Amino acid sequence: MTIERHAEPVRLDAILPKVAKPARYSGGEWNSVRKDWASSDVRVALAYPDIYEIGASHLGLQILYELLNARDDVLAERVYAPWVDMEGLLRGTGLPLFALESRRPIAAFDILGFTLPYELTFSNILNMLALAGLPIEAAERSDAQPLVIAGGSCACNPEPLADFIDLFLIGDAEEAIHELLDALRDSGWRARSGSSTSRRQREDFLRHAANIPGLYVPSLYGVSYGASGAVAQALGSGVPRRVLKRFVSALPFAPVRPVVPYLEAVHDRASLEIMRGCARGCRFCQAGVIYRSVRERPVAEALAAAEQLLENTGYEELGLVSLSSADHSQIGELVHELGRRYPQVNISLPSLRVDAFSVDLAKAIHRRKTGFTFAPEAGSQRMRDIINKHVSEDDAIGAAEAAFSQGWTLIKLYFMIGLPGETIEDVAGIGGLVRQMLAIGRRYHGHRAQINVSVNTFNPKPHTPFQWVAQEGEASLREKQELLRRQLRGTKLRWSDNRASFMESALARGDRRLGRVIENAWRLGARFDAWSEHFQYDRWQQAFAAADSDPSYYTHRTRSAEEGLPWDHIDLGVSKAYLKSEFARSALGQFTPDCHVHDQCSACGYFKVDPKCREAVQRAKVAAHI
Amino acid sequence: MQRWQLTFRRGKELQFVGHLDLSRAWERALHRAGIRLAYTQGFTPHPKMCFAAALPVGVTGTAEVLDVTFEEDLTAETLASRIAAQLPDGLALVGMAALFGPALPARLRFAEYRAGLETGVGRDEILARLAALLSASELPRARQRDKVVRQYNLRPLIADLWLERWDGEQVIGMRLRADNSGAGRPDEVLAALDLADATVWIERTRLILDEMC
Repeated sequence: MTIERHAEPVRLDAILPKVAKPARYSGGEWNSVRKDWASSDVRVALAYPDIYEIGASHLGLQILYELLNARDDVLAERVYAPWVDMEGLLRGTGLPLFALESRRPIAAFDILGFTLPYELTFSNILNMLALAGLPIEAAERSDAQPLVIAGGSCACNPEPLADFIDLFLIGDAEEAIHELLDALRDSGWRARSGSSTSRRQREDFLRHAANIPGLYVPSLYGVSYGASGAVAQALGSGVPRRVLKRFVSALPFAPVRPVVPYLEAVHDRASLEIMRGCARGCRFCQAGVIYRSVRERPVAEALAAAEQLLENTGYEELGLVSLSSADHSQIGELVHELGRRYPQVNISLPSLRVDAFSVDLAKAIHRRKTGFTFAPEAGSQRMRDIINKHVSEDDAIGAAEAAFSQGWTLIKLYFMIGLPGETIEDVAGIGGLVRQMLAIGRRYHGHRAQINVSVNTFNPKPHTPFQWVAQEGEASLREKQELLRRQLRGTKLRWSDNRASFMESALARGDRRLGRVIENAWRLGARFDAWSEHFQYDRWQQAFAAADSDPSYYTHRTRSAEEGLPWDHIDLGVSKAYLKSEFARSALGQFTPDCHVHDQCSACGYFKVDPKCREAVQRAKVAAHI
Repeated sequence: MQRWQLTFRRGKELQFVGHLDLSRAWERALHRAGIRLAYTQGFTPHPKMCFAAALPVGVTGTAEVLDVTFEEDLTAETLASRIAAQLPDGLALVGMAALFGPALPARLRFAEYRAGLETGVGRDEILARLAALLSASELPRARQRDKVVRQYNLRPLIADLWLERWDGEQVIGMRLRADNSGAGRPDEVLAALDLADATVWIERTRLILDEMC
């Protein structure tokens, strides 16, 4: 007989009226799925470690929600980090964290799956586990408690979270998640019927799951720290030495029934993924490695998905999502056709490359609700060569000309400072470029023309050619920010908080020992660290000190090329040799072409992952012999 | 082009959805229903859609009124069935009528509410409190909005108060002014009756429009 514990819905009537924006917690949105609890074999809570308004726009969770709920044997519900007012009420009343659809406690699910969008949400993950009434330490969870899994971009260095998460999914989830769910279903282990005094079913399952490609079970790896860096080793014979990421060779399935929030979400629109991956090879860019290689959604398929999306949601805006939407080989045709079919719908293209933006594209996007966003990233050609951002000043000027001449009055620009080898002259180039672009806007729109500039502090990330470099120190960053402030008086200028950026950097390139630091910080009250009103640098410093650790070891130290890196056993397909050669080329300002566009293989090692690369490597070998 | 007055119910499921969010939810439901909305002219066109009165967060409504103009001419039956299929839990269409004349907010005069209570106060005492409030010539109250405290007189905003039931269920009713001279808030009336803490639910049951203009 199966005995179910504490699965009754949480009664919220008394607390909902007391929080700001109760609609964050009340559920019932259009397209939300309420499945029958009793007859669902495997119950999954999909968790986003930040507030509702941000999480509701997350495309990865929209994909998983629809994918999982399409299965008859699976129920998937959603949970977001409760804002501090709701956390206070939950703690005050002793009510547990609950899922939006059934309002049942998170602890009553079989799987709790976190997406890991950015490092500064890590404290929220611990907080959510605690609010769910679960032990934050994976080693302390029993067979009666959910399997806690995580995936998403921060899973590419899972080590800082290794103490808290049972299992990570590395790479594209669309196929691996089914294999994981099937394995759990077939294992017979369910948290709802598991023993609260045993961990046997849980451990058996994890050992089994570790052999599913792309799944990483950190408890099955031991890490030693020494002069040669952090070295992870598989414990036991049945455990793979390295975990190779999962890759779906064709873009599968676009979600067409996303939940339509009542609250205004950060991206208050339908999102259609038109392409995954980007092979431009910008040397700072982690997403380019995580989502490699380029997979385009064919126009006919994109149009069919758009039709269903708009019909099912009623949105008045459609975002064509990818890392660099203007790089889709048929973007002009797609945008033009969407405009023809849906004259009342705004088409938006997040994040555009200046060299791929044309008057034609600007014309095709006929309604002007928001401005265009471009990311030149650096202010000088020298610097753009170092980072392999192969765009020129002329490209940027041309993009401004195209956008302003076609009636847009607002352009948003993204830059970074603190890049390797950057001088104050390179930073001064940002001001020069912005002023030139603004002059074009003035010519068309006078003082209505506006350029908003975001300048982020560069964070070296794992699996990139810059993974070895030290982050720039605070004093010189400040000097650069001051210069920009003087130069760009009159433009709207935003920059990132350097200290929050240091913490992000430490967590991004951290090892397993950071688990203690994250726990300390959380116990000291850290949560919502991505929110400036909640982030406290002192708290994190204290957390590091209490763990006998120093953030500068992770942030401001240059790692040697020989050093073992905490994420070396996580294989994203791009080889370390390639990253090293790219790092060397960056110092010389040498350009490495986009293999997707130029059909020129740079031997990044990805043939292990993508079958198409195998052919390219063969061709390159043949060519080399000729 | 066709202008319609839609009457709808907003249930408990949506009681915490704010006015702007509700407006967006309606707009999206109408888009899903495949009905082409008429848009205003200008630099940022928006649908010709207007509620008679915003419903406060936490309050349900049984006869809320929306003024909306469609591009295409369709029968009430067609519209009603298409719209009904696209409304989320907590929203229901209860009536449709062709609409002419000035915008609904300009025609609104009164709103009626019912409030469910849980209190040990007896029937006679409640009747006495209602009568006392109605016979008062002035009801000075202070209301804080953001950081500004505003002094005002609640009495002219109360048109009528009555006892609906006091047997098992405890329900009182009120008709409050809702025109350009001001709008009474049911929670303020309940506070003036010293029943704020006894209030379990509030529902708006009727919006009274001036039919002459």
